[in-house]
Amino acid sequence: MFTLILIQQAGDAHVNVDPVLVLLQQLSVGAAAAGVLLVLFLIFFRRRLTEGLLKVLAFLGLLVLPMMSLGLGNVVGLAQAKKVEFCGSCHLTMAGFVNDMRAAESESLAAKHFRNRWIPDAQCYTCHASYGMFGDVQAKMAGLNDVYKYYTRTYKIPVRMHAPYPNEECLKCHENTPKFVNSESHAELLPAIRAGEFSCVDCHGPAHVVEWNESRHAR
Amino acid sequence: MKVVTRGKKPFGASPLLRLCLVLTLTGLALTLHSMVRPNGLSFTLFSVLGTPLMLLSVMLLLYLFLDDMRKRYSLFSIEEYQPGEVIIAQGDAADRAYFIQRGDVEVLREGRQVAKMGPGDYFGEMALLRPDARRTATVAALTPVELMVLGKENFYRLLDAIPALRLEFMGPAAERRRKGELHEGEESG
Repeated sequence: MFTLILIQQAGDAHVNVDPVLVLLQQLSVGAAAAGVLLVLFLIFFRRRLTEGLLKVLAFLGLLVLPMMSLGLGNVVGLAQAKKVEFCGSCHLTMAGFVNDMRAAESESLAAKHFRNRWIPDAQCYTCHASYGMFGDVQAKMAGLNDVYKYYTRTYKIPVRMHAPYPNEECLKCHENTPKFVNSESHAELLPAIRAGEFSCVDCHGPAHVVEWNESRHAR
Repeated sequence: MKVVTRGKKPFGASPLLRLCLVLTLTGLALTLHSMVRPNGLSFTLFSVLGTPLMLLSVMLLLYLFLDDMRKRYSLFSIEEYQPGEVIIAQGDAADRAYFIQRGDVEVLREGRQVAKMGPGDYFGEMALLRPDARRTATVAALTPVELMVLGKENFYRLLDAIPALRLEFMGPAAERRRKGELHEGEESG
């Protein structure tokens, strides 16, 4: 069943399902389910147990199983949070971006990258999170803020980025590639591109093409 | 006599354990929810609520285990007596020493009061220092009394751990007290 959940999340691309992730998810769910049953048993029947047995079961139910579930759950959860399906789960705001990216006829930058598998997996996350630990942390903090705004309906449409899209996100893949460096049109602008004074999207955009239906967002 | 264990409630009846169970159950339910229905809300709840709840529960459980162990392996037990109750009787076999925490006691020999003792005093230790010793006096409570009680084995363990106590229990002052030369604070054994 849990394998199916991950396959569902991965859409049609079954090959993108990471078997290690599936195993970790199964272990996490198993540990959490066993923990719930054991904790419920302890809540209702702990007074009938001997002191020694109670301590062993409490150690298992309150320490071993929750910590196992917690550790694995965080690993699986963080991996799941990088998937396109996860980003698209905020339907009213993100689904438009995801649909555009997946549309065969779309000429947006995101759709080209997705269609041609220039980015094989976690396409949203790859373009919208910076390198390194702080990039991940910043992405998660921004994500938490977005979740808050989405569920409290305090977001504004059309949805805009927190800040102009930084060229570094493009350059982390394209920098120093022959096609990028040898391009005549890039030669003149290279210092400005690297300094972030001239946006890649100005020439290669739009990154996404989204039509907003404001009535769907009415509170 | 009322024996008061330091662990007033058994492990299973501790309110902290109940709290741990509820916290963990909530955390595990949020974990399951985020695994089966992964989306922004479920993962946020798991991260910002489920994880801290389960970590808090683990810390409380460790505290419970350590506290339980501390009580279980405590050298002393606590006993309470009401006025008039006999704590030790002359001629009885001796197996414990007593340290007065609260209240006053009287020492009786052949039914006659020979001394009074209060908080900070101790009695019963002399008999532990002699093999097959018997109580040489009766000690009874004058007021509500709370005593820290040290068994024979733990008494020896304490002497081994803190050698300076030998001077307190076996030194010249203790010898004089045993012979009845010290009348103030005279004690039984």
